[in-house]
Amino acid sequence: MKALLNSLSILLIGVVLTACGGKMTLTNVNFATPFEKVMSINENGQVADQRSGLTFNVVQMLTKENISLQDAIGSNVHVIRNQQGFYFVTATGFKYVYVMESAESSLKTVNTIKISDAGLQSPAFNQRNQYIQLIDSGRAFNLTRNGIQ
Amino acid sequence: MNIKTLSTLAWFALFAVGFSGVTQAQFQSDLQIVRNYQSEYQAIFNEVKGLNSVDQAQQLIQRINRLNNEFGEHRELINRFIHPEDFDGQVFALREVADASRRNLQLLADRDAEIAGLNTRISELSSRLDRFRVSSDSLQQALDRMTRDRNANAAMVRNLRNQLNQYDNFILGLVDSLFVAYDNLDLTSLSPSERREFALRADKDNVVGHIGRVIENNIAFIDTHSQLSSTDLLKMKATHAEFRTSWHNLGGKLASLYENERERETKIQEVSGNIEIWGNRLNQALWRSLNASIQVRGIELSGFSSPSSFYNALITYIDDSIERVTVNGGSEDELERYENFAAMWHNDIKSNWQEFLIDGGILSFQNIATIDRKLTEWNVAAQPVGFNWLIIVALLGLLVLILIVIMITRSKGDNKPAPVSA
Repeated sequence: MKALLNSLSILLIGVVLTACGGKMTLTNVNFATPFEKVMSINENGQVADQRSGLTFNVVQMLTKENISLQDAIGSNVHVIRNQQGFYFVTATGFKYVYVMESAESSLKTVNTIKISDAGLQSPAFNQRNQYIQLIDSGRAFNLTRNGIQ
Repeated sequence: MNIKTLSTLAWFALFAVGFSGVTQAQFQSDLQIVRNYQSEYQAIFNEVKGLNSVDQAQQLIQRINRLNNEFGEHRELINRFIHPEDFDGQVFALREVADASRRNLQLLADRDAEIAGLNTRISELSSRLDRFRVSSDSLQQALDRMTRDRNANAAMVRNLRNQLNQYDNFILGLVDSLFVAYDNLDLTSLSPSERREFALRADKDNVVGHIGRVIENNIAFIDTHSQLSSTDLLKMKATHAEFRTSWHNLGGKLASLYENERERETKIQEVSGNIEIWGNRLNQALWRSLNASIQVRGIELSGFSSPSSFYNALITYIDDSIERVTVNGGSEDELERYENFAAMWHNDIKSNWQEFLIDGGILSFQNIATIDRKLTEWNVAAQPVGFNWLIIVALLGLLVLILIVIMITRSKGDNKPAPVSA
């Protein structure tokens, strides 16, 4: 009897602990945004989307792309999010598309996809659910977090 | 490099160009598609607000159709961007507004055409009016002379009357034309400034002035000629009735044009008042003249001064006569009385005056039919035929008897034997 009571107590405590502090995971979430965000680089290297409130600084990206901030002011940065929740970021003049994941107050690169040695002329992202379509100068690239399909 | 190689290369180049073109056409930025749609939608929306012709509206409707055709295949994409609005809803709304604008502009265009037609008509009438203005002035002078010279002879009076008739008929025609023209125009659809323009137009042609002049002429003519015949007066009565009806129709239209314009409204009221004065003067002269025309034939009707009392006077005279001969029997005198009245009725009233009595609203066709019927009754009753014939037949019968008695007596006397001689 006492053993039974002990087992029940342990079980009860376990349930309570689980309810109070356990992690819940929701699966099959679709993060896809229907349209890309197009944001202009300001004098501080900052981009901002009025509608969603997303803001971040692209100076690090410009450095990697060997583009000076002065040259980049006014250029458009294109951002889209795929179903899995990864952000795809690129801009006019960039050679790469940066695949990033969100973390606390930050975006971390998970992949860098090289598209053009000469730099993209007028890139644009389209949401295609199974992949992200990048179009530029009459060419199209189907992108996932792993690269060009 | 031989020709075959060159042509192969050329084909490849052509293919590559074509393919790249196709490729280029296939790849479009979704965001750009939506922005293009929004840009075109906004441009159409702005244009709808500024439409000012039917053609413009038609072209805009075609532009909306092109918008629908061009972006229809992207509606799902567009709907996601413009949520909670949707592509079909926006296109439908644009079409509705453009169509409503087109209909309104068409109505305005039709109304403008009517107004243009009316202005043309008024211009035509104005030029005719100018020609009559001269003769109107000379009419006025003739009337003034008549007033001063009371010994004007009958020929001069007739001549003046003819001129007045011509002027009256012209103005009547003008009033009726204007009324028809104004009647076709929905004055309530005119803006205040358009009404004012019409009012000024009517002023410029002095429509009310001319009508006023007609009335003054006629009143002056009646006042200066106390010896007008009943026929003349009845004709004038018919003219007055026509004027009254036409003025009643047009006056209302002019009053709505002249709304809130005190001076002009007063003029219209003056004309209405003067038409009544004209009518009263005419009535007084007419009843006096009719009474005199009838009395001169030795017929004494009870007094009358209105259409109803005139009709009653005629009917009462006939009814009294029928009653008298019914009681006293027909006679030569009664027959003479009947024939006198019948002559006046058929030769004066029906032959010469009937048209004007009807047009002037003095007697109706029904009145005339009733009087005809009663006259027939009177005619039959007034005949002295039955009584006279009886006496003659009785006298003839007596004569025949006397002759028979004489013949019998004579024949009896012939059969007696001759007496013997001594």
